[in-house]
Amino acid sequence: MPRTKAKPEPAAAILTEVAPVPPTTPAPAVLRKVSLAGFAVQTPASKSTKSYPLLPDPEGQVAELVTAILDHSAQAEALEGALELEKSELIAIAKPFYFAHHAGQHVLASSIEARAADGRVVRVGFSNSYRGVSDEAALLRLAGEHTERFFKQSFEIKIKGDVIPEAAVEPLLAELQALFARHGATAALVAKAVIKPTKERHTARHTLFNAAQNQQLDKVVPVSASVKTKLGRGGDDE
Amino acid sequence: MMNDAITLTLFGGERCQTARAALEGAARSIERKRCRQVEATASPALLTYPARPIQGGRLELAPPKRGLWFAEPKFNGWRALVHTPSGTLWNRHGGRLTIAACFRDAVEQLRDLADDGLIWADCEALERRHHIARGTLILLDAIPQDAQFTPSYAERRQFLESLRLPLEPFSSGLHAGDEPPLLLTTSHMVCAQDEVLAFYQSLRQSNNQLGAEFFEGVVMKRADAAYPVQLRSPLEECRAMMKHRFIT
Repeated sequence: MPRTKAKPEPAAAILTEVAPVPPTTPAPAVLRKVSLAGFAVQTPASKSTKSYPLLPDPEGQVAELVTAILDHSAQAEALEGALELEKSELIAIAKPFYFAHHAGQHVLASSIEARAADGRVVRVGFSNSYRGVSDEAALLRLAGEHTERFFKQSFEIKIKGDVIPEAAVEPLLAELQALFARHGATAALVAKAVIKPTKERHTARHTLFNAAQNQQLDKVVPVSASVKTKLGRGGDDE
Repeated sequence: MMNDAITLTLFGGERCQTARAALEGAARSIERKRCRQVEATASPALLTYPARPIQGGRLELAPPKRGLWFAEPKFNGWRALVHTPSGTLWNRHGGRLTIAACFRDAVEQLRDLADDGLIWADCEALERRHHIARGTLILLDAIPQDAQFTPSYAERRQFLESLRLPLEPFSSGLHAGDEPPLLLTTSHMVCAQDEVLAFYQSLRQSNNQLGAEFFEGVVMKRADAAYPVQLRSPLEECRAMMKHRFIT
């Protein structure tokens, strides 16, 4: 399934406030901020050790939770799969009706209703959102003269800001903005910026701050935490 | 190389090892060069990413499916898409299969099937994950080259069976060790949920008999569905196929 992508924020960098630091830690003198231009920041893949500390469970509540999570996760996965299948079947039935019903019309309903025997209803929505074209030759053959008017190439260029040499960031972005402006394409340049911990901070925080300070910091910059129920191989192929 | 070959006979021992390594290295280099030449001249562009089934969770927890479905074993291997005339193998991400050289014999057999109309073969490549049937390709599906020709799974299966390839014996817990390098996957028409559950459990038992995690579960395929030919994304899932793993 195509991954959903976060929509980029419009130009003008959005900068979050500097995180308040615990009282025992001196506040940083300066937090460098630059005006970014249109580039998503990717979190570097985390590396962890292969042996894991075990969460203590003196009262047995951890074991109970783990059992419940694994059981419910297996049930949910089976049900989610079945639900996805049923929805795709309903969509497959609704599509020909959607096209037949709207043939020759300019006003479109955004959804088609489908009713259960007991009167309950679901809606099959058809939004103005399309996946990429897989077969250009087939598109040209099918859409014919309308192809040029209704289809055009869409692309995004991503710049990894954190790998640009620090001294080059501001002049490079200024030149980039000027370049786009010169071509009348300022609107094509979008930027999103957030303040994120540096790559080194994930490990360094445990020596720079004590456990209580890290608990406080976590309220401001929460660590990404997840419960993995699948501990083996993720995929089955190369 | 020639000098090394001579010292091989004169000195033996450690020198012999060095010479052998040098010769093997040279042979690998020549083979790589030959492969690159073949690829450069004969390899077509990738037709599609291999169909990726949606995740169905554990079969014993899944509700029965509507309509007619077939169930195939889910093998613990590497997905491989093969263009049979050129013998080119791709992985599920659309990149070249890095372990392609391990399947030379199977690919040769697939080449012979190009004349029968099998141009694009969706296979599972058995290698490295366990000790069984290494170097074997299990033929899972046939992908029509012409985008306007969209046979159903049942029709594709009929075509595959017409090729008269030996069926994989492993789902019966059998493993003689001398299986041919190209095998056809077994496929069972599912008329009732308890039938597919029995098949699913039998694959688990086969794993015990084989002493390996050879099967991962079952892949179910809707009988009336066309193969999803698409190059949009290798992550795009096919809703006419569903995998049920033993362990999720």
